[in-house]
Amino acid sequence: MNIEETINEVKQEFQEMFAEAQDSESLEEIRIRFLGKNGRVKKLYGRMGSIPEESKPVLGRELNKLKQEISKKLKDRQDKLEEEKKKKQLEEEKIDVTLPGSKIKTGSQHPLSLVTEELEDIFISMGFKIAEGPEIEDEYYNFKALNIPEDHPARDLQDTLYLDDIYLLRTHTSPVQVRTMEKTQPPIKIIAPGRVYRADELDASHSPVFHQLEGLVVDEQITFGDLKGTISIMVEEIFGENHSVRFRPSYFPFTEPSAEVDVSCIVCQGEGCSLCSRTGWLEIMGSGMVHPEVLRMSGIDPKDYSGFAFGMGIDRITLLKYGIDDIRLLQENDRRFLQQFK
Amino acid sequence: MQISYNWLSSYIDIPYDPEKLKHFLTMAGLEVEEMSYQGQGLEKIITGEITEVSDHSNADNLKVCQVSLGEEERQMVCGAPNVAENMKVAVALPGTTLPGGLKIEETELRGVKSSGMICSADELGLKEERQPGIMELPEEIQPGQPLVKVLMLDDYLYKLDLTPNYARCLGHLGVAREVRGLSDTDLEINWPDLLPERGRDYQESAVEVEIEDPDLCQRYTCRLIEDVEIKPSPLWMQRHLEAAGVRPINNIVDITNYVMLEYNQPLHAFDYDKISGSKIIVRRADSGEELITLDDEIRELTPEVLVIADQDKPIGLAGVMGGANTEVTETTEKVLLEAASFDAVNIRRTAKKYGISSESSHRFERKIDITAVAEASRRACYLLEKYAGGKIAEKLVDCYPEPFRKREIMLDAARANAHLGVEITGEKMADMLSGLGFEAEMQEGSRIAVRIPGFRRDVDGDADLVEEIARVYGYNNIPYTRPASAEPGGRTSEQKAGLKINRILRGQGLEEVKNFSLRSEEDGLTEQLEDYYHDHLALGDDGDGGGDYGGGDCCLEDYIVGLKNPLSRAFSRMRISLLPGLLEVLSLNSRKQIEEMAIYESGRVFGSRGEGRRPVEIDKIGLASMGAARDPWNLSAPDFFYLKGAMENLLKGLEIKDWNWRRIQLDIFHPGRAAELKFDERSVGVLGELHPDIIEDYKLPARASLAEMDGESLYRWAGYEEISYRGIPRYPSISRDLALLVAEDIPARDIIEAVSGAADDILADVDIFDFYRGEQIPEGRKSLALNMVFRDEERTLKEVEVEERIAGIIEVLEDKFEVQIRGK
Repeated sequence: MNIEETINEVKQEFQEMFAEAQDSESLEEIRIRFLGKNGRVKKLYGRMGSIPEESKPVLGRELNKLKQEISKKLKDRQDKLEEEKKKKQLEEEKIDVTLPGSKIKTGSQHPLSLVTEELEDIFISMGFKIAEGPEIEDEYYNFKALNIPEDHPARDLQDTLYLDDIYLLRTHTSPVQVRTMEKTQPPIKIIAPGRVYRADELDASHSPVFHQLEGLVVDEQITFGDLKGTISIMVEEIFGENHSVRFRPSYFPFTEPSAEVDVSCIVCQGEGCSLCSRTGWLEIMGSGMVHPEVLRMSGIDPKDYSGFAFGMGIDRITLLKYGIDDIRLLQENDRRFLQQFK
Repeated sequence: MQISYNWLSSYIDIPYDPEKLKHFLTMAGLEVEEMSYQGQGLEKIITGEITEVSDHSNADNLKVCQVSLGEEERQMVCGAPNVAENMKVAVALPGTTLPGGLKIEETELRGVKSSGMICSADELGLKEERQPGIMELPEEIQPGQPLVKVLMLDDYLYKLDLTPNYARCLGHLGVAREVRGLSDTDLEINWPDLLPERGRDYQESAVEVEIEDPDLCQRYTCRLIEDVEIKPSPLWMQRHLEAAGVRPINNIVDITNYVMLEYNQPLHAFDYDKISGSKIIVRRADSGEELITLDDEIRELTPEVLVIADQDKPIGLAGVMGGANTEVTETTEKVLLEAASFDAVNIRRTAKKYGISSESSHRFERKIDITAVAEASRRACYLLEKYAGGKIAEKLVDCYPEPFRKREIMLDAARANAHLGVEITGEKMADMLSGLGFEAEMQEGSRIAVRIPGFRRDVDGDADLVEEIARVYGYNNIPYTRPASAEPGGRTSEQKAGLKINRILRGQGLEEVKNFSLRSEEDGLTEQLEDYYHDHLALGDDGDGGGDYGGGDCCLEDYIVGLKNPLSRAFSRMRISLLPGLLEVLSLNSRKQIEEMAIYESGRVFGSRGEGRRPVEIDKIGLASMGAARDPWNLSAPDFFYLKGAMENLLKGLEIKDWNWRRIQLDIFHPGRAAELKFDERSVGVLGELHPDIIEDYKLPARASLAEMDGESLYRWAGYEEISYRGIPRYPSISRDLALLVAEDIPARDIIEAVSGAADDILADVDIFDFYRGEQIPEGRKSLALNMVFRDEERTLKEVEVEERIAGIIEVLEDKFEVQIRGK
């Protein structure tokens, strides 16, 4: 058989086998059979020595062509198979993307501390600092220094829990005003959030333990207008812009003039509903110009300085802000309640 | 205090309708707590006249009535026994709903048409008890009138929540003054009719008054009224009293109450014939004396109590309540009318002492107008003459040792303007004050001399007058401004750390809770903290930075701060720890089928330092967990290690460097599963799995754990400096694992410390990543897998160096703990 015929035969054989090969193993087998050390193509090269010189270039080209063709075909199919395999694997790795995500625990912030922090941030942005004071107070700080003398009907306004003849649980955060003024000279601009206590039975709207936020500003030429401006900003920030605020005369022994601050009802917007007892307004805090006697007792001369103070119930604001109808929920700590405040 | 629109209208022409008056009062500082209509539910009831009564053909006990309603006549069937021709009655027409909820409809009763109902007083809600028949109205009324007009129930009531400085408004005339002073309209007050002082020939009184304690009684007047006839007071007066919330009794009592509600002057009427002698003595009671007051209580008297006495005995608790021994009754003929002024503080103490809060004591406690005492008395005398047939022949006895002198307060208009942030002229201010009844006179400059009338004893200084100016000007007319800020606001480092603590704990999946700081006397948990208190509960310090520990000489019971006047046992003492509250929160949720929960609380606890010393207040951070899923070491301690991890992340977050854990035992914890957190040698917290007995008692899931840390220590040890950035390592590190077998009782911490000590120059980190006991591990030993990271900041490490260190580490471990290296 001459070499040309053999080449054609090899070509023919390859084509037949290649047509059958559909996996990597068969392809590898073919590769070894044709291109391996003892493969058919190699053998053909070996026979090159025995052919006439003049035919060599032509046959050499022919043979190279065959070798390249086989390699290429094998490689292309191998690549194709790899590609298909990869594709198949990715397809098999398909997941149900609608299954729920991992259960990563998320904490929550108690609504009271959420609102306290929010209030603090509002006042800090207006230049206030945060003051603190003890929850256990004595008569002087809780009453006397706030111009609430013994045997004054104003004491009826607050039912006090006493520890002994000297100490009591503060009934308001106002003692922090006194403590601040005693150790700081004006300008003073502080808020004091904290826990307070009253001899109130626990029910849906009363609690013996609750929280207040006190504010105090003392400087030269502080006016009632400043009080109004400061409080209205706070109300806007907490309840939103579409609420109106009104100030009406009231009485606190430690302020004069004193004002109760009302915000238009968050439920009925002033129409009158059961939440606002049909008045259209919700009482949210007490405020006023610091009584000159209180300034004097704390070592500040009312001739040179004036100031305003205010105090609000954080619990009440929390209930109003979130529409919670029972103050007891704030200390029950039911997880289904807590989880709502992130 | 409750006021009536109609009553107030009798003194002043109210320039507002009932709804506007409510707003006006509230904005004047007289907060209206509730407004109501006196004839509520009776608006549609009309009067009728029965013109004809005939028998019902099908029922013996029913009558068929023809009722004239003025313009029309209707037929109504009525079963009342007292129904009669020409009777004036109250009629509910079809479509009306009675106060009790009964809806009247056109109906047939046993075949006879009835178009309306003749009502009884109880059906109309005018009487509580069931009435035997229909209500008979006065003969003179016309049919077809609204019943509320005829019964004078067409009135609006305002329940005022008056603050102590509005005591002047505890009478209608005081409210009338506010209307005059604050409304924009020019109004005059129609003052009530009084007994004429002149023009009659009054004799000197036979009654004598002696005030023994003029500091407790600044003025005492009385007047004798003879020949009184006890009977009901006129309907209008009864209605006015009812409108003010006072029950009518008889003409004498009603008149004293009526004048009190006009003038805010409490009055008292004694039955003169029951008084021994003719001398009234105002004195302190003697020890051992007794008085039965009008409420039939026996009052044991002491010298702190001021009484009104005759020559033999006390006859009244001055200013608080009269005595039963001189009470006005059906048979009273002579009345001695008292009008006086008593010391506010003394009255308050007496009222408190006996637990009496009377209309009278309420007013005296808030100071009454001493200058109006005689006028109120004359007003009552006028009414007693007119409505009780009283004869007044004697002069008023008026013991008034030191007549009231009006104080003068200087108000500087400029300062008032500066205080309020407004610009009002001095003249305008003087006008405003005059309108409220002050005598105001402009002085030089911007000064106003203001004389304070007797009914304004709440006014002590110029600040009170500034408030009056603001009230008249209108709080809501004052412009909004804001104070300047010289300094920026902000939080202190500690306050920032507090926020950070909360943030970190929330980030670990813990939920913040808030518990009361008041606890029950018998919570069943606090008692179990005895050893915790003795060994670990750090007391706060007085600021010297040291801090001492609980325990020592005092027992837990003495350490707990109790309340002197608790409202109930449930809230009777202060918490000493956050642990009991946290445990209860887990328990509550567990009972509600919530199986998994992790919580924290940041709050204060309290402790006694002995009698007379201020108790300590300590900030604590408490944590609790139940039902945690991941059990990192397969030790069935998921909650313990969850909390431990959270606490360690907290410590790292606060940049606290040197902490360590030590095994402890406490009653509330599982004996083998509790640890103490220490900073150097200071105990700053505990962590433990709850004792199985407590878990059972509180129905908690197994393994629930609690922890508590001292807040002050965290604040003190926290690194407050700004975060200090270090560059990312420039040279690669080499990581090696080492698995060892070690005796079970050797704490992991000791192994880590030994490893660190053996190669501390290039050992960047060492951690335990696996822990195993059981199969393939010999009894009494455990397997630990360590990961060590070696690094040098200056150069790339050579393998051989690391191998050397590891050999050294192994040597130390073998030497110290007899460890066996696995896979070697």
